[in-house]
Amino acid sequence: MRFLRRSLTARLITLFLLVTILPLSIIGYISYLKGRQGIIEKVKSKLESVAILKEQEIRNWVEHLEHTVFWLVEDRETIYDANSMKIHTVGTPEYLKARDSLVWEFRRVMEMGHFSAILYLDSESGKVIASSDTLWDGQFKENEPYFIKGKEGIYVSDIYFSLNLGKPTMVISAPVKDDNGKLLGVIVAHADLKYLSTIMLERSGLGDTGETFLVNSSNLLITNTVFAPDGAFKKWIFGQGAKWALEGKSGVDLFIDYRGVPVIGAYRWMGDLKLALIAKQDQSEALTIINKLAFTVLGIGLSIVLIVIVLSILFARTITRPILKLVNGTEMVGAGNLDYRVGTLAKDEIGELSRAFDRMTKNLNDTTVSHGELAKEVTERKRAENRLKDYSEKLEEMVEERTKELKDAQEKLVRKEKLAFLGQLSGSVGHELRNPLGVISNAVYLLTTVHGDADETTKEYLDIISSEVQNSEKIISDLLDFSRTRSPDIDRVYVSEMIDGVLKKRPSPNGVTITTEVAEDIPPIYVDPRQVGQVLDNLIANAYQAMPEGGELKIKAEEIKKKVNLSITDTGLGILKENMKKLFEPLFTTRARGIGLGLYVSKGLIEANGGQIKVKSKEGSGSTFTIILPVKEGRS
Amino acid sequence: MRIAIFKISALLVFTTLSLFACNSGEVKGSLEDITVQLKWIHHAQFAGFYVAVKKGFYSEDNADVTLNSGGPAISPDTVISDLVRGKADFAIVGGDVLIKSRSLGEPVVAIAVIFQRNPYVYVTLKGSGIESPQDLVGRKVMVPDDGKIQHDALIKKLGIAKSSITIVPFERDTAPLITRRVDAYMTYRTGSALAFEEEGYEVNFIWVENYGVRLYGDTIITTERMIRENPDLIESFLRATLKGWRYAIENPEEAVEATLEYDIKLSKFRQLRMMQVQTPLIHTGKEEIGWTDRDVWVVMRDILLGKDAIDIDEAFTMRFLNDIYGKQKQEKMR
Repeated sequence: MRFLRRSLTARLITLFLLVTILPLSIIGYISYLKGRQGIIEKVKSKLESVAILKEQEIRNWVEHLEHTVFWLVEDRETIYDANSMKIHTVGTPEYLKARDSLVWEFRRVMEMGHFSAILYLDSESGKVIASSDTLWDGQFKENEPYFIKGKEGIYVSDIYFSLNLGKPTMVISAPVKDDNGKLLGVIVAHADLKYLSTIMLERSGLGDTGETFLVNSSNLLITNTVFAPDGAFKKWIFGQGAKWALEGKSGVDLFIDYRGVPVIGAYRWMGDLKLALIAKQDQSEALTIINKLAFTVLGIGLSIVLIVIVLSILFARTITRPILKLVNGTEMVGAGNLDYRVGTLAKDEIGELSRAFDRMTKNLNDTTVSHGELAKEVTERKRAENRLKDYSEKLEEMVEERTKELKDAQEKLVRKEKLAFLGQLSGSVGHELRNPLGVISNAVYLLTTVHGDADETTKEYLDIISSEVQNSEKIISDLLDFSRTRSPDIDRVYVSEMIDGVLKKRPSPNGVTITTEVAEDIPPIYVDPRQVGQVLDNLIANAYQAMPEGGELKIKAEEIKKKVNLSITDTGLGILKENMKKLFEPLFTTRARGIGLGLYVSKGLIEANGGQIKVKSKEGSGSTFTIILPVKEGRS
Repeated sequence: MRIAIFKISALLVFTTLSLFACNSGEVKGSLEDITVQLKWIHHAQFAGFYVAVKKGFYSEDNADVTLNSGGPAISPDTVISDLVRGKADFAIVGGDVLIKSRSLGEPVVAIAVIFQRNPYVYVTLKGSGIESPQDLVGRKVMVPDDGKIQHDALIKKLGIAKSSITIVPFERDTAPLITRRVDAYMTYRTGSALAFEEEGYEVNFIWVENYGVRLYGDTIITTERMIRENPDLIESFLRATLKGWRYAIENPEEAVEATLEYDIKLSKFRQLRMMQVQTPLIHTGKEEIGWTDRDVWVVMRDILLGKDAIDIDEAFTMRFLNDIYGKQKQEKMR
C-alpha cells in the first residue's frame, strides 16, 4: 500500500520535476553558456584591445625614442661637434669643447626622460668618446651590435641587462654623418625602461588578476607583473600564450598561463622588437559575474525544485488519497463489509470511479443479502433435519424400549399365566400326592417300630425312604405354598422367640456353629408367625446347605429406623454374580434337588407381611439374607 | 608458433647486439656516472649544478653527477689534463683557458657558456679618481694569476705600456686596497669584490668586459672523444644543467640552500649576494642561458692568440645548445 502511494507520488514528482526542471535547466544551461560565451568574448575583446593598445603604446614609445635619436644625429650641432671631435686631436681645447657640447646636448635630451645614458662612439675604434655619464668614457663597444649596426643606420637592440646601468635597457643607436655622408661616429642611447614598465603595469579595467607583460624570445620575463612583482629578468615564462606568441602568432584565447592557472588572454608577437606581449586575466575572475549569475540561477532553480516537489506532493495527494480510500474500500468490501461506502464529493474521474465502486458495492450488498437468508434457511433446515434424525433415532430407541417393555410384560404375563397354571397344577398334584406320602411315612414308621431288630441294611433303607419322604413332603409343601396365596394371619411376634422356635425345629448339622445376636430392646413385630417363621426356616436351611464343609451361621436382629432387620449370615460358598438377579425368581435353583420355589415363595410371604427381603453376597465367602419387617402392623 | 620462435630469436639477437654495442661504448650502465670538475671551491658560482643535482634534474636523465671542487691547489692545467685523461667527463673552466688549451693541442671543446660575461673587475676606491683602465697608468694593481691574461689583453687593447702599471702579487683580502697599498684590486665581481661592499667601503667596479675584452667566463667543456662517442649523454647532462641554472636564477634562495649542502661553512648572506650579482653575467637577456656566440669566440681568439692562430670552430660546438633550444628559435633570434 505504502509502496503504491510512494511510487505513484514519486512518479508524479518525477514527472513534474522533469516537466519543470528539464526546460528550466536547458534554458539555464544554454543561457549560462551564452552568457559565459558572451562574457568570454567581451573579456577577449577587452584584452585584445588592451594588448593592441599597449603594443601601440610601446611602438609609439620606441618610435619616439628612435625619433629622438634620429633627431639627435641629424642635429646640426651634433654633426658640428662630432666633426669637430673628428678633426681635432684628443685633448685639445677644440676637441674638449666639442665633446662638452655633445655631452651637454645628451644631458638635455636625457632631461626629457626615457633615456638612462647616451653615448657617442668613435666611428673607427668603437670607443666611448663622449657620454652623459663619465662612467662610460673610454669603454670600447666595437664588438657590440649597436655599434656595428648603428654605423649603418638606426638600430634598436633587444632588451638586455646592462652592467654599467645595473638594470635592463634597450639601446637605440644611429650614425652621425657629416654633410658628405662620411661617418663620424655612432650615438648610442640607452632607453630607460621605466616607461615600458609603466605601460605594462597600467592595468585599469583588468581586475585583480589581470596583467600585461613582455616576454623576450628566450621566454624571459622583461617587465614585472602582478604575480611576479620582481620577476623582470629573473623569471622565465612558459605559459601557452607566450608559447603561441613566440611562434610568431597573435590572437586571443583561453589557455593555461605560466602559473598553471586557466586564463583568458591576448598574445601578440612584436617581431621587430622580438617581444611577446601578453594581456591576460584569470578565467575565475573574468567569469565571476556569470558564475555568480549561475549560482543565483542554480539557487532559484533549487527553490523551484523544492516548490515543485512540495506542490507535486500536494497534488499527488489529491489523486492518491481518493485512490487510497478506494483501495481501502476494496479491502473492506473484500473482507466482507458490504456496507462500506467510499463516499466522495469529487467531481473528477476518480470521484466517478469511487461512486461507481459504491454503486457496485451496494448492488453486491443487495444480492448478497438474499443469498444470506437462503443460507440461513438452509442451515435451519439442516438443523431441523438433524434434529429429526436424532428424534427418529430416539424414537426407534423408545420403540425398542417399549417393545422390550412390552415383551417383558408379555413374558411376565405369560410366566404369570404359566405360574398360575403351574400353581393350580402343582396344588392339585401336591394335594393328591400328600396322602400317599402320608401313607408311606406311616408305613415306614410302623416298619421301624415293629421291626426294630431288622438287619442293618433294612434299617438303612428305611431311613433313606423316611428321608426322601421328608424331602418330597417339603417339595409338596413348597408347591402348596406356591399355589396358595394365603393372606397372612397377623399376630404379635417376639423375634427372639421366633428364632429360637425355628432353630429348635431345625438343629445345626455337624460343623456349623450358630450365633444369635438379638438386640434386647427390639420391639415385637406384627406379622403372620407361621409365614415369617417358614421364611426364616427356609433361609436357615439354605444356609446349612451352603456350608456343606461346616462354618458359622450368624443370626442377627436389630431395629433400624422403626424396622426390624433380621439377618442370616453364612460363611458358605456365596452366590455367583450372574445368579444374583435371578435369585428370587421362581423355578430358579442351583441345586440338583429342589424345584427352585423356596426363595420365590419366601419373598412373596415377606412382601405379604409388609416387609422386604434383601441379599448380599460375596463369591466364596458367604452370603447375608436380610428380612426387613415393620415394627407396627403393616397392612392392618 | 613459427612466428613466435622467429620473434623470440630476433629479440635475442637484438638484445645480444645491443649488449655488444653497450660494451663497446663508454656507457657504464643504466645509471650514468658523470664527474664534473669545477674550476673553484664549492660556492654559488656553481649553484646551477647543485640545484640540478638536488632537484633531480640529472637523475631524471638517469645520470648520477659528482661535482668535484677545484681550488687554489688545482690549476686550470690540472683541470684540463684530468679531463683529457678521463678523470672527469666535464669541466668548468674560463673561456680563456679553453682557447689556450686548444692552442696547446688539447682535444677539449666548449659545449656551453655559463658566464656570458666575465666577472673580472678592477676594484678602486671611490674618490681615487680611478674610474677606467686608462687611469691605471702609473699605478699599483693587484692582479690574480688567472686574471693576468685578461689584464694583459686589456692593456694591450687599450694601448697601455705593460711597464706603466705595477703588478703586485695577489692577496685574497680587502686590506691592500683599503690601506692604499695598491690602487686597484683585480678580482671577481662575484667573489672577493663582494667583501668591499660587505665591509661598507664605497668602491668603483671597472668591468674588463666594458673595454672590448670580452672573454667568456665559466664554460662547460668536454673532450672531442666524448662528443664523438657519447653525444646523448652530453645533451642530457647539458639540458639538466641549464635547467638547474634557470631554476637557480628564478629561486636564488633555494639555489643558495643547495649550495650550502656542498659546504656548510659558507656564508648564506654572501652566497645570496653572489647569486644576485652573478645573475646578469649568466643571462644578459640577449641570449638563452648557456648560449655561445661564434663572434665572441673569434674575438676571444683574436685577443688571446691572434688572428687565425687556431680553428675557432673546433674549440666550441653549438650542436647541443641547438638541440636543446631548437635551431629554428635561434635563427629567429638572430
